[in-house]
Amino acid sequence: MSAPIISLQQISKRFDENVALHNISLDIVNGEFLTILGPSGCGKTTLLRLLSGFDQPDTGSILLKQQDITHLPPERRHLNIVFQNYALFPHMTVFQNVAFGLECQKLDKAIIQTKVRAAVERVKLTHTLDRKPDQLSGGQQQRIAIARALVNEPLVLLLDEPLSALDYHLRKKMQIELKDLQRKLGMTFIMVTHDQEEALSLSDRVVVMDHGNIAQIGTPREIYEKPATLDVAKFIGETNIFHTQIISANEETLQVDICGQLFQLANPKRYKTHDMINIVIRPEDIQVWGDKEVKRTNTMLPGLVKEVIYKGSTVDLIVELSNGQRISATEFFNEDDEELIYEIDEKVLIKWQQGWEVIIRNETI
Amino acid sequence: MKLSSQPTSILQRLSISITWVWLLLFALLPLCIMLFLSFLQHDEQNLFILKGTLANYRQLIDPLFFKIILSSMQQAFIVTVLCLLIAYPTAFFIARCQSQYKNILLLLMVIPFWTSSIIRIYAMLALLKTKGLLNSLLLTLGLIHQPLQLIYTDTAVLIGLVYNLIPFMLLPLYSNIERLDNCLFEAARDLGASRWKVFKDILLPLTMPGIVGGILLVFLPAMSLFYIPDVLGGAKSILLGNLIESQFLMIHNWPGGSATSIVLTAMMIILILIYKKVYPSGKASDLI
Repeated sequence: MSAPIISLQQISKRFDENVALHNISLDIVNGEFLTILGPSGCGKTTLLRLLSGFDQPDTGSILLKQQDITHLPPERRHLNIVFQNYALFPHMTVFQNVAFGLECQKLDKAIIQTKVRAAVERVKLTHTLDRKPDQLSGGQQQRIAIARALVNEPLVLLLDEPLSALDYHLRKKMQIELKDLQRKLGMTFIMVTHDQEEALSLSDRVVVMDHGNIAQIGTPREIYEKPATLDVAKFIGETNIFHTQIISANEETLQVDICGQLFQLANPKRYKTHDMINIVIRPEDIQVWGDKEVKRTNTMLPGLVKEVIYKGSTVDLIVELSNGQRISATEFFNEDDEELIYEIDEKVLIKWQQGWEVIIRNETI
Repeated sequence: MKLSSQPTSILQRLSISITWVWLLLFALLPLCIMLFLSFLQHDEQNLFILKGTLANYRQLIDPLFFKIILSSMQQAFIVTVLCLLIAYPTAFFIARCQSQYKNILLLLMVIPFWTSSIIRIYAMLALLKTKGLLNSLLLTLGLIHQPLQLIYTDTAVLIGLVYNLIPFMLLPLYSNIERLDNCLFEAARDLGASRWKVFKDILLPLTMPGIVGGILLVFLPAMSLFYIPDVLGGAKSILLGNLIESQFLMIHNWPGGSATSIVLTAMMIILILIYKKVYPSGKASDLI
């Protein structure tokens, strides 16, 4: 693998008494779409501000193309940022906004003209060149903000929750455009977001942050299917979690009691007898059968349907188990099961594909 | 007016009418009377005579009056520039403070102005006079060996005017700068702008409404606060305001005084029109 375009080395940052970032190390590969994901206050915005140069870390260093830029002011870093509220200059036209960075480089007027036109064309907004930002729609402002950053041909584009101000449909559309743009330019994009769906669908790699630490780095698939911690599992997507203690374990399997029933599960992480664990199962991995449809086996748990939420392509169910725990299950319409009709308080049996569960050690005990 | 069509709006209608009546009686009517008076003649026995003339305006071009107008405009110009230079960084600093300090700083700026302006000018006299506090302090510190002759000079008038008018510059600037999103400056720097370019291309144009608002509120009072030259300048320096005062109260030439006042008002209107011309999108409400 080639040298990383950005390398964060043991970055720490405090604000007054609060630790915003705790000893963060991270290498970013040239040309990747990296998302920094986490709940508000996890330090993701701080990390972006350190990268762009608006704040300085207390310890550690930031390398851009092997050059130390830790203490370089923002105007001397070859990266650009797209702000959450776009921060377009309200008194300037679209053209002047996009030309601003090029003017700072003291480029020739004719070159600026060409570059601005090309950048605005790339986001398909050539007809707005003479307008002021307040004459643009939210989506157009967003695209101009991206054009204004890209026109400087930065080594890395930073995006701070770029789509959060847009409505649902526009956000979906912009996600596709953003991904498309990144692929065509081959530029490194670093996006900060709290929207896990956005992170999963856009990124090559996701960095999940939690309380100033990196909780997990991985591809969207790894993050979703193999969450490293319970917090990651809870933050990414919906989860069902069974807290339990291992009754017995060997190298291959472990035995646990879930809701009064004995289960034998694979033990790839070599947990030991009496370990406290969390068994994490995604709702879409849970199958629900009507009480009379199938014969109960020892991998099924009985329950009562408590909620039926029709979502068009899926039906979401809340099933209450005999111990009172509520499980959510997502059922897809398909040839085998076109009906998917459930009634409240209907008796059902739930099961999941053995091996699709994720077992995480309970850290708190 | 949409408001008055609602049955619940009797109180609103009443309060709006009171405001309008007040403005009509005490602002528009006097202005009309002044405008009317300014075209009348005057002699030794009468405050005014009901005969039309343009003489009152013609006298303003008279070298003696014209000199007063010019020097008082010059004085007002210097006062305005000084106010701007002092208030701009101050307003910026206060607006960018953490919010718990912001209000305290603003309050500290405004508290002195709860005392009557005339009383503060006499206090200024005590500070600036030959054996006053300022000279004593400078002598004690050994910075000067002779007391400075400050009082009864143009400098004293300048200090008094700037001191009195600073809040009128500061407040419009503050409310303007306070509304600006910090992101804009960060975006500019991120795009490679030097601090100077951020100031010149972002901060300055975006604070132009505040600057013009401040100038309008400072420039004209600076020409008309007649008691400040009276007290601090020892009546040696004369402003347009002093001219109006003496025309009305000393030589009892009401038409003459009216004409001078009307010219002052006209200047104000011209300034606003120029601003509207340069910034067509700027709303009048931005000025205050």
